[in-house]
Amino acid sequence: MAALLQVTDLEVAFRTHDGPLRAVDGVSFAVDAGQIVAVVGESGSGKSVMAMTLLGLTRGANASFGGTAQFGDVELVGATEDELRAVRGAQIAMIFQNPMTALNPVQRIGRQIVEQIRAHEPVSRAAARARTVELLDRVGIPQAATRVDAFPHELSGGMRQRAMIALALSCQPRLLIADEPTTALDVTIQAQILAEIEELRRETGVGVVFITHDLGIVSQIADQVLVMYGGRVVESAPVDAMFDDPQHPYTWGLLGSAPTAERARRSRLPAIGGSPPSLLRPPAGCHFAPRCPHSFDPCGQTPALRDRLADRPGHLDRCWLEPGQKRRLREVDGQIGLAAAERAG
Amino acid sequence: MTRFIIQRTAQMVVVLFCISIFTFLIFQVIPNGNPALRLAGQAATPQTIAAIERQWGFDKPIYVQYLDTMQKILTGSVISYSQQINVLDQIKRGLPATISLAGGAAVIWLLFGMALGTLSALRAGRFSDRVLAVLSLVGISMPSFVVATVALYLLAYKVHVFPLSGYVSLAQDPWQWFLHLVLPWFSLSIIYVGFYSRVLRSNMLDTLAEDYVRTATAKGLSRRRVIVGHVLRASLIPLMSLWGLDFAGVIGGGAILVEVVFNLNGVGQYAAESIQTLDVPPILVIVMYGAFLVVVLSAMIDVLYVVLDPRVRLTA
Repeated sequence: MAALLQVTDLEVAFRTHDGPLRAVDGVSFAVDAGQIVAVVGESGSGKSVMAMTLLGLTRGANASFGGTAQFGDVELVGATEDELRAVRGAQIAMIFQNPMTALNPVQRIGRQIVEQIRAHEPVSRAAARARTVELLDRVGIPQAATRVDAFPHELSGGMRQRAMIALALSCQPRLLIADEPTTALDVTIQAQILAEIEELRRETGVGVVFITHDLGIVSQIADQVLVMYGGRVVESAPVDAMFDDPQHPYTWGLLGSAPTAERARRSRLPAIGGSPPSLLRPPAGCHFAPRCPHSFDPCGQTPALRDRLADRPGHLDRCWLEPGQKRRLREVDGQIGLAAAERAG
Repeated sequence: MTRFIIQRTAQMVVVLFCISIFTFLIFQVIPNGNPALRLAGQAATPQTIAAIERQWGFDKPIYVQYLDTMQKILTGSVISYSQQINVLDQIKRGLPATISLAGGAAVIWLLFGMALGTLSALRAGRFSDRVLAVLSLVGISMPSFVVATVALYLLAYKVHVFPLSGYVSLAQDPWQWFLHLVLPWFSLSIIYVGFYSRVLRSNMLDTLAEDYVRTATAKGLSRRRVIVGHVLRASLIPLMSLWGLDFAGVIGGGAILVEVVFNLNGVGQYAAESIQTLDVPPILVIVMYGAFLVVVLSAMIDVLYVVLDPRVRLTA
């Protein structure tokens, strides 16, 4: 069975005053129906640009693209605006990070949802409105029949994000792209929203690309994980393998700097030293090498993203180290982590 | 709402008070300001002048003169020095021309400003945007009397497309009313068109970067619907307050130069003539009437804001 979405060698570059900026540098992955693929990475790793590119939202005079993103019959990267318009909202829907600013502040939320339904389906205003009330009710907005006429500022952040989700679901999309949908929300609301997305996946079989930097969320809902660094995928694996046997030092660093119950008593969370690479002048070879305490000669060449574990063909990474070496190196204080980098000079 | 009206009314009283005092005092301190000298004529004896001063009350202390004048203005019985006719009647006579001029021009500059501003924003950075930027700067820097004079010369004197000058009332002959106003409308509008299109362009560029505009695109709306329904709507809100205040300024006698060049006999022209003869009562009344319009229209804009932007609450 062909995947719902097959992204192959996706590249996005922006022309800037300081030269070309390679925001996404050869990203490949697939999403099946009913599957949740999490994309993790620091700010500036290219996750959001990658996601928005799938819907053609990064197009502009200064942007250039490469690779393909096959979604059913449509190749999204090269699609015309008209083709994209038919896909946007109807087949691929997007939930944005900040529900405070992602809804139009001067329009009632019902109207904003009705607008999307009527842009894609020949239904009457009344029918679209009735469906909107149903949707709002379904995503857990109390008194949906009256809230449909609320302005965004009259709702709390959690309610607004639910309205955003209702908007995303209104045309029964086959793929949902969620760009840090819970980052701006309280933890309790976060859990409810996640449960909502889980349930949707179960009920409707929607495929989900879930962008986040919260590993707790990843372990909770993802099937497959993609770790991005400096515009590239550095590791790609099923969620259990990613947490049990991570192969890339950057992933170790991410896991090592995530707060856990045992670690809560320690005074300080370990952080990955240094800062993410400039995408204007990325380091030659492995992008992570300058921050990696385990870097050695071969790291001046870019390692391919491929499977390096004989027993797990679905576990891909971009690191020159041998799997046996990796298992030794990633042990820090009895847990997975990244050793502190030696101070230069 | 009641609170809002009360506060705005109080504000208006303060504004009118300050403006009237200021205007009144200016004409007390400028050289050759004594109106009795002009009322008496060229070969007047000191006795005649003294008699006139007594008759008009110019010999009284300034604050008494001010209070007398204000009382006459508020009761509608104030008369001008030069022609000695009722000032309010004169203004009423000029109002139809001024309202016709201001109303038509305001519609023209809003429509053209919107069209050019939108075009500029959507083509930002490209050739057509740069051409429009230069054109609007030219429009902003050209004084309306220059535009008016050139237009008059070319389109009314050289080629007889439009009548030379004067005002024909709408009730009398709608077509002539229109013909007589076309040149004044455009002469007055050009500067505002330039200004409004620049303001709208920058508003729209700001709005285009908003998250909710990206959401609108991600919903699968056509570019046109995104622009008209989400970008333009939000960008026009701040433009409305400019528009209201500029309209108030023009209708309050601010289009002096255009009214004079086209001899429209409106309120602005009356103000110009009164200034030439240092005729304080009409100047005072016109200034106060202009200020009154500005305050009232800005209150109306605040109410309109509540309708346009649901996040706004009325506060004075």
